[in-house]
Amino acid sequence: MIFAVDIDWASLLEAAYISAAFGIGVLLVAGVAVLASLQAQDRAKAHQGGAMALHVLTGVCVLAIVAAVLLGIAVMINK
Amino acid sequence: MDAGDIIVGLVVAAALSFDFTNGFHDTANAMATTIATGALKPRMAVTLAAILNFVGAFISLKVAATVAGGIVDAGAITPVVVFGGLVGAICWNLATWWYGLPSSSSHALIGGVVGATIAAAGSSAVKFDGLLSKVIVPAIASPVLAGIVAAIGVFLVYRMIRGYSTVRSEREFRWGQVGSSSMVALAHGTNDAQKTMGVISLALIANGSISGGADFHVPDWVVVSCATAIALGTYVGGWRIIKTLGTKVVEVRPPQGFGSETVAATVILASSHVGYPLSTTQVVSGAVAGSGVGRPGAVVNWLIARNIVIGWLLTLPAAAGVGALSYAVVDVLGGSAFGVIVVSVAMVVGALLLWRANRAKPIEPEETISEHPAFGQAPAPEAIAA
Repeated sequence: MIFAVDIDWASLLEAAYISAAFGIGVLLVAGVAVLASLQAQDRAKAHQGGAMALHVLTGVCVLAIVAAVLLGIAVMINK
Repeated sequence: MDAGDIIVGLVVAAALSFDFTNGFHDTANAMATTIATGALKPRMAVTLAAILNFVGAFISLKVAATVAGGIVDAGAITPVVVFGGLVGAICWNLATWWYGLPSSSSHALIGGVVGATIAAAGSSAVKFDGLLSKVIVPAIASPVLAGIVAAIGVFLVYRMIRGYSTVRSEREFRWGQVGSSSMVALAHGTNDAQKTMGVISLALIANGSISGGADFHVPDWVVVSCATAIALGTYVGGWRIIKTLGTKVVEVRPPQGFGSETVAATVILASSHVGYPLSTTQVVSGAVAGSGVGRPGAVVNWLIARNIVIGWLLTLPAAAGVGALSYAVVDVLGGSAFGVIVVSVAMVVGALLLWRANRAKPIEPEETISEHPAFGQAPAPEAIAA
């Protein structure tokens, strides 16, 4: 009987895939940031090259997360 | 001042009391995982959450013009019905806080209003289709969705960092955890303070105190008082629920805490974006449990999770029952200001008794920190045992 009721399945599905895409996406970007940061520390300690590039990658990931936060605040303002 | 003004005054007082209970009931949503891992000290965490809830209340002022719009017949809503609904919601919030159960304040308010409406105008005034589509289906879908997304996301993050020592990798997530918790606190202030603004506005419109027409706007004092009430409630900190969500469902580690709060914020905002109303509490609870499933080696306490779900199942009928009873008492006493005063006094006495009982057996902030926090010192053994 649940399907006889006017349930907005389209909105529910849209919320589901946006949540999945952004939620997992932000976590993966954060994971890359942490991984790059840890590798950069290890390389710097071992006096190996590439530490700077990894620090830059960490910074880019952090900026991407900041952008996601700003997008979230924009959604709150415009809801 | 006539009887209508007194009733509206008491509705406003009840609405602000509900807002306060909403704040301390839902502090756990944003900060339980952050406190559990030690990323922030308990008092610092609730202070941050209080500030963000206060700010969030001002971010958007698109207040719903009706309480439980689309769920009950708008013509059946009177200030006394709203009052009954608020009493039902406050009682349920206090009861679930006492048992440390995270449950939805919004669903409690809707349940209370539905119950009071049934008592006032019969079940025909309730739009059960709306109740199913706007409350029950999202209530089932949202924790499941948040849980699945959090489980997948946290699992992938742990796969990425598996080559590094736990201590080192976990430390990297500290500020991410604080940031993601802050987003949930901000979103909570935006969503929940406005519900109370809607309730008060409705009572003022019904009393003729403000215009409900095209020139409707929420009075500034309503915005400021609602923001203040939810922030004060958040600052008081519902330590019982924080302890349940942060330490009893699953032992939370920093990547998990970051994952669950990030997913919760994403689900809440995505749903808000597409216009689907969700309960912050249910989303966060689902995400915390899901993050436990996603972390290798973590053990979710499904008994606690089951108790939380039972609380969710009881929210609508329990709040509706108290809402209906409150309305009935006011009605028996002539439907006048006197009846509203009697119910208000009874509620205040009940709240004071509960406050006394809590003072006799309090949950201290230190007890909400995990047994093995990633940051700072572990709590004293007696605090863990409690």
